[in-house]
This record gives sequence, structure tokens and C-alpha cells, in this order.
Amino acid sequence: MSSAPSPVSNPEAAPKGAPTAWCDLIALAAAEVFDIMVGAKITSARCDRQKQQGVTAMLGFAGIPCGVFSVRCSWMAATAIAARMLGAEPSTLPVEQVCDAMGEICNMVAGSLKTRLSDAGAGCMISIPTVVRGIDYEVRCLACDSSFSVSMEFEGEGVLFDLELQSS
Amino acid sequence: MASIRALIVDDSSVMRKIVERSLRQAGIGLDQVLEAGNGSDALDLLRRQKVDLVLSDINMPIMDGLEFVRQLGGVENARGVPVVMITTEGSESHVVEAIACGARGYIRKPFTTDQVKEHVLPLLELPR
Repeated sequence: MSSAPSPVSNPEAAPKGAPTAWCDLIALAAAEVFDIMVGAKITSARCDRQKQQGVTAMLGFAGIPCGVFSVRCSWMAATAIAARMLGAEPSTLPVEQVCDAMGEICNMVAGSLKTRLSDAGAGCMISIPTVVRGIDYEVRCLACDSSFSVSMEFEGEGVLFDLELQSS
Repeated sequence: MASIRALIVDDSSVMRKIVERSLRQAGIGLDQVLEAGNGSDALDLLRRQKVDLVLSDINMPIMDGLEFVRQLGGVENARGVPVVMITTEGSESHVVEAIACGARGYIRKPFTTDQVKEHVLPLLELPR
């Protein structure tokens, strides 16, 4: 819904060097998905990337653009997101369901990006999401040469949205 | 409206639960909810059981939602059963393709209960 406020309208909150257009698109899509499917507001926030390890959901864009989109947060945040989506107690959720919920969040935000790009004339497909759980890991897109990052906050926990693109 | 049997097709178990909850919140009486994780499993299920409504994702492994809807015509139990796509694939070309394949409705994720009501209720009131 285009009426959702852009959480990166404050330039201070946008990562340095990232074109506002991509970051605004990501933030708008993320805010819409959290508002409707999680029933919660997410707001722009600076957060320590190292602290957001726990779970990463990612999927690939093929076509124009080509790259990888990922959503990363702590396991505690992921569990809280899944619990709100399902209307369940966080302690009752199995690992699989938390990972599944994160995959769907990634899928919906990326889908929203894709729809906006398609409506603007770009043609691409998105893959089925993959979810990684653990600590002390790094995700790299080998063929990508530009990246756009939006950091947001959900119930006091950081959530990072990263888009890495291949320019040619 | 009498209670219905619905089939929800999505590779995400979380999304299947959310769709079921949304149907109930939309005031649709559910006698039974069947679930499948991809189009192929959904076709197998429909060969054995009748349902009144199908809600399907598009982007799924093994058999995607569009191929599933294409093949539904060959399943006797599924003839005339309304199919609504619920998917992140929200571009106009996908909507056109889904309708051409046989879908009767299209809801883009993320979705609200009002959207479910708007797109699903009229289909259940039509004679089949």
C-alpha cells in the first residue's frame, strides 16, 4: 500500500552511499508487509550488523535486476515476528515454523519490490526463499557489485534488509 | 452460507495457517481445511476428495500454482470449483496469466481480511 510512510524518509537513517530510491522501495515494502502480516510497525533505526545474526532469509532475483535480497535478524526477533504472524506464544513455536515465517517475510518484501519493478517495465523472477540459522556466518553474493541496506527496528530488535545487485 | 471445504496450497505452512485464519475472520464457515505444499500434491488430493474452494500460491517447488490450475480441468472432482491465487506475484501480467489458466480470483500478498472477503465471498455465492 503506497500510503505507508517511508521509514527512511529521514536521510540520516539511510545507509551512506546507498541510492535513496532502492532503500525507499525496500523500506516501503517492508513496512507494508509488517503492518499487514505481522500486525506491527517497523521503524528506521541504526543497528549493529553483528548483533543481528541468528537467522537470514534470502532469495534470488533473476533477470533485471539480478541479485540477492535478504532479511536478517536475531533469533529472538525472528521468533517474535513468527509468533505475531501466527497469533501464537513465542515459546510454543518450533524452529521450522520460525524459519518458515522468516522465509515468507523475505518472499513478500521481495515480491512487493518485484511487482513495483515489473510495473515500471523491468522483468525478473524471484526464487523460492532459503533460510540460514546460526551464528558467526557471512552471506555473500559472488556476482554482485552493488548493495543497498536498510536497517529497521521491530519491538526493540534490529531487522536488516539487504539487496545486492549485479550491475551488468 | 453453509460451511465449506477448502483446499489451501502453499509451500509455507505458516502462510497456510494465515490463509485459513483469514478465511475464518472473513466470516467463511469452514467445515474442513485441506492443505498441500505444492501443485502436484494438491492434484493428488483433489483426485480423492471434493472441495468447494481452492486457494493457491504461485511460486512453489515441484509444481507451481499456474501449472496446478492448468491441470485442474482434468480432475473431475475439481470441475467448477473456484480457484483464487494468493501470491506475492502481483504484476498485471501475472494476474492476466492466472486468469487465463483458470483462476477466478487473485489476491496479492501481503493481504488483509477485507481483501479475502472481497475476492472469495462472491465466488462462494455463485451457482456451480
